[in-house]
Amino acid sequence: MLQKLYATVSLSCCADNPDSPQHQEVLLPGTLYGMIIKERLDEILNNIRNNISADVRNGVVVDFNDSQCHWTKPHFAEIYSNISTERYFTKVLSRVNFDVGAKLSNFLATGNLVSPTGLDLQQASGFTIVAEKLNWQRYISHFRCIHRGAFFAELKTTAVRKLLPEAWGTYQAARMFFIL
Amino acid sequence: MSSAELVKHHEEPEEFGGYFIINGNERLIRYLILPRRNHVVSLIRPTFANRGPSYTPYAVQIRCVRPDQTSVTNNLHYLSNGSAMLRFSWRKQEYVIPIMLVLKALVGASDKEIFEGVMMQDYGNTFLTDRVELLLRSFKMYNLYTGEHCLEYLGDKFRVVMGMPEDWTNVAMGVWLIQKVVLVHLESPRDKFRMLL
Repeated sequence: MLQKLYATVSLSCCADNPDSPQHQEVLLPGTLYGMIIKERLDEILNNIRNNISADVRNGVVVDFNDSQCHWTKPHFAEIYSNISTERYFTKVLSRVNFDVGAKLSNFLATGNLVSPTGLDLQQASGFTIVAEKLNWQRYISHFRCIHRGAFFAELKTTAVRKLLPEAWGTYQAARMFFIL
Repeated sequence: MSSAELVKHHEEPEEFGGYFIINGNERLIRYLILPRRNHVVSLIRPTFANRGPSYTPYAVQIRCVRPDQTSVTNNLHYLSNGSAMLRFSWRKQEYVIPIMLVLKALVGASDKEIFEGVMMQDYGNTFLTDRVELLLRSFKMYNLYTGEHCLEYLGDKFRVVMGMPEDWTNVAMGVWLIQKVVLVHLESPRDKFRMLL
């Protein structure tokens, strides 16, 4: 990277064109969906930790082994092994909101990304669209079209964005199904 | 599934899926164009010069993707004094650190190692030798000599921002920071170091 940077400065290498498909890739819906789930789970775990550390700071008795039941027969312990009987930890868990689905359904319904990190994306809205069923070709086009990104529409650059030779096939396909 | 099987499952015979039904509408997630993954792009943008004193329009950018498909973008900005700054964002906030700090923190690289790594035997290229010399010299003012020093410095500066446990040492914090934001598609610090050169 340093070598390329210095080469760019000395103009022994030219600036790359971000409009060219050789410098682009497509974000798939499943990938985006997975990123949101991962971030939500991370948020939940952080909430649990913050809850516990707040308790420690406030001098609350923090005991992770304060189990309220002592099974008299070993097989009971086996049966109920998936039920948490530790009072303190159960209380902490009850204070944290575990709803992952709400975030996803909000994302799907509005197309807006509510995220503390931004997921390394250039935009925070317009991720989902309604597939209109005016006619079959229009309907199917929603499943095929690739979006250049919302930030692109607001770009203030006046540079020429020409059809690049290596992009010929891509753009022909894109022109057929393009919905901006 | 065949049409007969689809109908048996109470679906339309020509159902191909791929959408979500929200309030009766068929909604779908758009395909979106992103910068290509793990691929260094050089950029010349006049706006980069407005980032601060001694910034220039020159930069390189890479979008690094982890195995779980989440990504982090790293930028490397060229400064008019010959050195470079690494830019990343953390929780929507941008941070810039000198590249030398990262190079040293990664593998505890010596100045010679960095010089040779960038030069690649091309000693006749005086443009490059000058820049690398400036890069190495510009780092002297930090008075950080070993990888340990650099990690400690990084960890100390980012302790508040990262919000990790308070009993972590500065070094552990530095290691964690580098693992989390610098070239996340690579596992080992040595690989990250090679890629940064």
